Order: sequence, then C-alpha cells, then structure tokens
Amino acid sequence: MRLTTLLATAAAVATVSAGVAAAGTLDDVKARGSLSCGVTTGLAGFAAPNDQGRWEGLDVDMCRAVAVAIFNDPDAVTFTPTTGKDRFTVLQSGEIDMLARNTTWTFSRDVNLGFEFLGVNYYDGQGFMVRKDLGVNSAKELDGAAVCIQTGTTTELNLADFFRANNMSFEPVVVETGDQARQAYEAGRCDVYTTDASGLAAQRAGMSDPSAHKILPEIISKEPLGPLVRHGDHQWGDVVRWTLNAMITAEELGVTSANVEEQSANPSSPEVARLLGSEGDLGEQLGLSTDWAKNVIARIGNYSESFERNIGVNTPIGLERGLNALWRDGGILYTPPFR
Amino acid sequence: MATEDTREGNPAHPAGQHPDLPPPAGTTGFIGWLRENLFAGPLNTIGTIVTVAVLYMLLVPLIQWSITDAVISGSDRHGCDIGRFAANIGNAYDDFSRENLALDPNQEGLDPETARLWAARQKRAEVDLTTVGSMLGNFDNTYQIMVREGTVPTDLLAVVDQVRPLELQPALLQAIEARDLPAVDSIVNELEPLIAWGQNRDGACWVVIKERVLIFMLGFYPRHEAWRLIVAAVLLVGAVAPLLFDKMPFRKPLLFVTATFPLTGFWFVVGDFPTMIYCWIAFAIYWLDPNRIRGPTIAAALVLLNLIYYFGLSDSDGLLSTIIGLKFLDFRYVPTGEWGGLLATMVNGVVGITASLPIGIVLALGRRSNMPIIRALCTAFIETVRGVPLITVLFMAALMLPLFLPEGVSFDKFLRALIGVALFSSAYMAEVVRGGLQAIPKGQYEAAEAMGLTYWRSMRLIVLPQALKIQIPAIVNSFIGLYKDTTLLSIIGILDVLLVATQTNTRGDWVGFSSETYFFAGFIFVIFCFGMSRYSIFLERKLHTGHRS
Repeated sequence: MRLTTLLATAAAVATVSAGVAAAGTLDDVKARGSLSCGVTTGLAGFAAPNDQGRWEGLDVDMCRAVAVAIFNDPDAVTFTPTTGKDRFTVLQSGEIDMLARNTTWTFSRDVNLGFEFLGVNYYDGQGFMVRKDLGVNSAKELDGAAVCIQTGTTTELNLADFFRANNMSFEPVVVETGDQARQAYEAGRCDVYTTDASGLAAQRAGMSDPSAHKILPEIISKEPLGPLVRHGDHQWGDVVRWTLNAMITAEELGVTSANVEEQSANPSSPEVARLLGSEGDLGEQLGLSTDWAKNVIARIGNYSESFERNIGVNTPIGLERGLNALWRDGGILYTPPFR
Repeated sequence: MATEDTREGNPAHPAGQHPDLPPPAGTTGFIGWLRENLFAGPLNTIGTIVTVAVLYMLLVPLIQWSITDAVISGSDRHGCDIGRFAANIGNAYDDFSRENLALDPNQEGLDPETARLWAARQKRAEVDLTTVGSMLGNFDNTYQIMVREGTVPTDLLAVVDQVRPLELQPALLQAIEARDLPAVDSIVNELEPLIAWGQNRDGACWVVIKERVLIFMLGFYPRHEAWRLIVAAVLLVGAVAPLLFDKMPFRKPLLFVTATFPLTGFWFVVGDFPTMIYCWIAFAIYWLDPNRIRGPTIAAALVLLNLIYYFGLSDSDGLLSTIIGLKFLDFRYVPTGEWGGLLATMVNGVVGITASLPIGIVLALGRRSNMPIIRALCTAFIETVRGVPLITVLFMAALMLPLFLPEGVSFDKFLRALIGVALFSSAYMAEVVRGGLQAIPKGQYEAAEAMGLTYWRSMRLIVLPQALKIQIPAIVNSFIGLYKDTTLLSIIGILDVLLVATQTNTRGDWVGFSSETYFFAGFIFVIFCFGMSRYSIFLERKLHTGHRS
C-alpha cells in the first residue's frame, strides 16, 4: 500500500512538472528524430528480438506504426526493454514516450497511477491448458486438479476466485517462470497449466508433443492489453490512439499493405479517402502529414496483417483471432469512424 | 658377526657397500602411483570407486547430450525437433506397459485403494500408447515442413525411403485406436531404423546458439558496427596484459594503451570522435601540468563533464564536432539501449572491477583515518551499502532515481546501473582492503614514519603493497562475485547474457530449448571466472615472498 502511495505521489509530482516543463511529447519526439517506446524484455509474439537482433511482435508493430505515422520510418524507434516492475516508472519519468508492453488496462493504472490507455490492441484473458487424453472439455470439470501457476501474478487470484465461484477445489503447484511452469506441467507435476491464453499458446509451441495438449474454451479474466502514455498530453495521446484505430479501420475497409497505393489513388469509399488522406485533412489535425495513415498501412500493414504475422495461426504461437476479430466477424474490435 | 654378513646374501659385497636394491615391485611406475594415490587402503579405494562411478554417471550423459547426440546443422528448430520426435516414438513405446493396460480396475472385489492405483496405471499406459502415435504424427508434420523448405538432412532421406513413416502413420493410429497390440508392435518394429536415427539426434540443439550467437555477444548493437567492438576487445587485451604480467615484451608501449584505454575504449564502444579529442585534451593537460596537482582535478572534471554531456544530452549534436568539423571521423553513436549480451556483461564487469579497487582502497584508508569526519563518512557509506542487497541498489538506481529527477532529465539507465554496481562492490572491496591493512604489523607503519615518509608515500611504498598482496585471494573473490552479480542487471531490464538466454526461451520459434541457452550462458561465465581465478593463483605464486610458514 505504502509503495502504491509513494508511486502515486511521485507520479503526481512528475505529472505536475510535466505540465510546467514539457512542450508536448509530439514536438519532443519530432525534435529528437526518433520515438522512444517501452516494450517487454521478451514475450513471444508481442515483443522479442529475432535472430538478427531486430525487435518483432504485435506490440513492436504498435511502436513502429507510431514512428511511421510521425516520420514515415519504421526504424525511427528506440526500444527500451522494461520489466513488469519498472515499466511504469520509465514512462512516468519521461524516459520513454509510450509504453506498448502487453499491459492490462485497469482502473487503478488509468486513474491512480496517472496514465492514459489509448485502446486495446489485444484482448487477452486467463485460460487453462490440459493434456488432451485427460478427457476434459471444460474448465468446470477440473475439480481437485493440480494446477501450475506462476507466483505473484494476478493469475493466482483469478484462479482462486474461479474455483471458489464454481465450488471446486484445486491443488496449487507454484513455480517462478513460464519456462518452469511448462516443464513442471510436461513432467506431469500438475494436470493443468494456467496463464494468459496467449502465453499458453506460446508455451505449447515449445512442448515435446504440442499436439497432445489443448486450451480449454473458458477464459476466466478480462485482460485488455493496450498502449499507454502519460496523463495530460492529449495531442500525443490522440496520435497513438488514432494510429491504432487506423490499423483496425484499414482492416475493416479492406485496405492492406498490398493495395494501399491503389486505394489511395482510387478510393473505394469516402471513408477510405479520408483515412488515406486522399481527401480532407485528418492528418494535419493530428499534427502529422496528410498521408500518415497511408504510410502506416503501407509499411506496417493493417491490424489483421500485423496479427497474422506475429501471433496468428501460421506462426509458432498459433492464436485464433477469437475476441480480437472485427465486430462484424464475431469479435469485439470496433473503432470510431474516420470523419 | 661374519655369519650375519653371509646371511645378507651376496658375499661379493663387503659390509656397508651393498648397492641399492630396486624398490619392491608394484611401488613404482604407473601401478605404484595408482596404489599410492588411488588405492592406498580400503577407505581410499572405496572413495576412488565411488568418485569414478559418479563421474561416469554424470559425464557420459552430459557428453552424449552436448556432443555425440547434439544437432548443429540447419537454421531453424525443425532439424532439432524431428530428431526428438523420432526418438520419442521409441521412448514412449518403451515406457508403454501392456500389463498395466490389461489391468481391470472395475474388477469385482478390489479394494478402492488398489482400484484407484490400477486405474492410474492403466491411464498412464494409455497415454504412452497414444503418445507413440502422436509422436509419429509430429514427426510426419515436421518432415513435411522440412521437405517444403528443402532442409531435410541427407541421412534422414535414406532412412525415410527405407521406412516410409508417412504411409505407416494411418495404420499405426488405427491400430492404437483399436488397441491392436500385435499390429502396433509390427509397425514400431518397421520404424526401428527411424527411431535409431532419432536417438542419435535427440541431444542438445546448438542451432539455437548458432543462430543467436550475435545477440548473445552484442545484443542490439548494430551488426555493421561490430568491428568497433572487436577493436575495443583487442585494445582491452592489450591494456590488461601489461598490468597482469610484468615481464612481458613490449610492456612499456602497451602501458600507454592501458593508460588511454578508458578513453579509447569509450570512443570505440560508444562512438563519437570528438569525445575522444575532448578526453585527449584533458589527458594532455594532466601530463603537461608540471606540478601534476591541478592536472588531475581538471582532467577529472573534463571527463566527468563529458560523461554528463554524453549521457544526459545524448540527443544533441556533438559539441566539438560542430566546432572543429571532424564530423567525418564520427562513429555512429550507439545508445546504451542497444547494448546487450556479453558486451553489457563485460562493460559492467570491467568498469565495476576497475572502479571498485581504487575506490575501495580510498574508502578503507578513510575508515582507518584519524580524521573523524572522513572516518565517519567512509564508515557510514560502507556500512549502508553493505547493509542493503545489490538488487535494492539496482532498483533504487533504475526506479526511484528517475522519479526524483526533473522531467526530461533522464540520465542513462545503463550508466545508473553501472554506478550502482561500482559503488556496491567498492564497499565490499573497502572491507577486504581494510582486512589487509589490519594484518600489517604496527612496526611497518612506525618504520615508515621513522623514515620520514609522508602518509601517502608510506601507504604507497610500504603498507599497501603488503596489504594488497595478502588479500589477493579475497580481492579476486570479490571480482568474481561482482562479475557474476552483473546478471542481476537483467531484473531491471538491461539485456545481459542471462536475459538474452531467457528471452530466447520465450521466443515462439525457439521456445523449449532452455537447457541449451542456459548452458551456453553458464559456459561464458565459467570461462571468465575461471580465467580470473587462475590468474589470482599465478599472482600468489609470483608474489609468495615472506609471510609464509
């Protein structure tokens, strides 16, 4: 509690001084010539360096998209790896301009810590994985199971709540890291492995027999993950928010990196024209160039392209779109219109 | 007495002039060595046998895993997976117990405890049996991917031609589904060459290290700038060698490399030529100042200013490069955020080690000083720092410090951590040195004073050389500890060797090879720590004058 208070006070001080000192993050970023973006130290599919030492992932694409919107250069980004512990401090202290680090949007982070969440780029939630031959088809059949969980995460709380709500009991097998959890589960020390569904999929890819395991359909917690910035700089918040929206809207309108040039020359609808800057001045209203969204889609792709490239069914992670499909495809991705 | 002489044996030799007989058989040569060292008595023999047995049990699997069964060819995980899948067909089949499968837990008259046990055993057998099928499935899937990518090893092609696993899969799955054990047996029998092939390839997957070795070494350091690090590494060797060996050739000129390494190393690793010139000017002032009194202060101030300028205002253009127009000699500035792997570990280790010894000596002298304020300050610093764990210092540097600084003044996280590590190890070093100082007899201090030496000269010429010599093992111990402690940097998000390993393990295309990555990270540390330890032994031998019983 004390630490939270301290952090909150420090954040408040930081915010106050930000109001006095900072000219505006967008101007700072433009003057510096590169965006400083906080990502995780390594999470498959969301942010991790590839074998050539280049950052890749869904969150990384978010950072690169903002860099393209401002500079039309996906490499004008400095990535700062942050841990679960220091991610908020580096954002508060101004060391980074935005944080895209599979961070769950919660009330206290938004309000108490003084951040502004700008949307959701992945709807995650806690799930369960079991061996297929256990014959279990629903998490409600897991009464009495031994469950592998990581220490000190909200997963532990969610799990206890779920089992209590369903009048079931479980035997916790507590481990430190995802890697250890996978090994414990594979060695049969527990029947069930629980963590965020995206993490389960990633760990399954590393098992000696990936096809022998399945992820149960129940998702027992809401984990909307999205990019965030410091409170108080609305222009900067708008830039990040609408960059994300532009990627999702592009998918909705059928604009891809392959056809963006053609669509911008001959827009198929007025909204496409406004999005790609063939018509109107939406980009200038943000303080960017008119063709900012066109650049983002040309260089990064729309949301679907980014998703399929990093965590989609054809990657080792192999995630279905699920909740993260567009609203008209049965998911809950829905953006305000561009006009 | 004469009779006794003849009893001795050979009358040809007069008494007292008998030549030495050869030692009894079995006490010389290899056999003798064995008897004396390994089998000298029952306890010793048992000890030897147990040790050899334990070594055998540990080393053979290790060598099998890391060398004979290891996979090094290919560029992605499929080449490793396919061997494991093939071997696992055999492993699961060997684990499978048909007696257990035949158990009937629902049989009449079983007590509940046995019934539960039987059910569990039967379940286990069923799992093993289905695993045989699913492993073949995994093998076939991976094989098809490799065929598409054209990466199938030639020896596997021959085995597959002979065994035809793709055609056997449906039959095997059907047989397993129907619990037709004779059919399963015959199919697994047909698969035998494939399983044998897999068992020679289910060891370590060094492909993951091969593909990511540059990240292990450099982190995100730009690949086309990597030559700068090689130059810096060569310079580092050149700088350290004359300090380590005082009889080596070309020692004098190399000492110049040593003296300038803090600047040249900085220049090559960080970039920016003007920094270099800036530092050289500072250095020249230091050498040219006849009294060498203002010099160190000016030089230190300039270097410090330069560091602040560098890490604090790194986004502005080089000051001097604009003035003197040497832009073409500028290396690309590489921010510390792009450092990683062995580079980050080495920079932290080398800077920490180099800084901690002098700071530690000063603190130790301060703590034993007669001046109360200095003594109190040094004692307070040492005790405070020793009283908190390193991780706390690092969290303080990484998390709290930025909150105290005004917005926009972000001073490099890497530098903050570096200072934290250096100060932390200085406090420990100070206590090590103090131990050495206390071990010097009072007579030495008094003798130095009697000769009219000033405090600093008596310390430099009489006391410290003896004190440091006594403490060599403890000092090197501290160095090794510090080098290993740099792994804690991963907790505050600095990409050191260990974090690269962890990160590799979470990457989708390499998940599941944590043994290999941790083994490699450990191997790197063993090399450096073992080197330091051997050097300390060499130094002790060289300096073993006096103070020995």
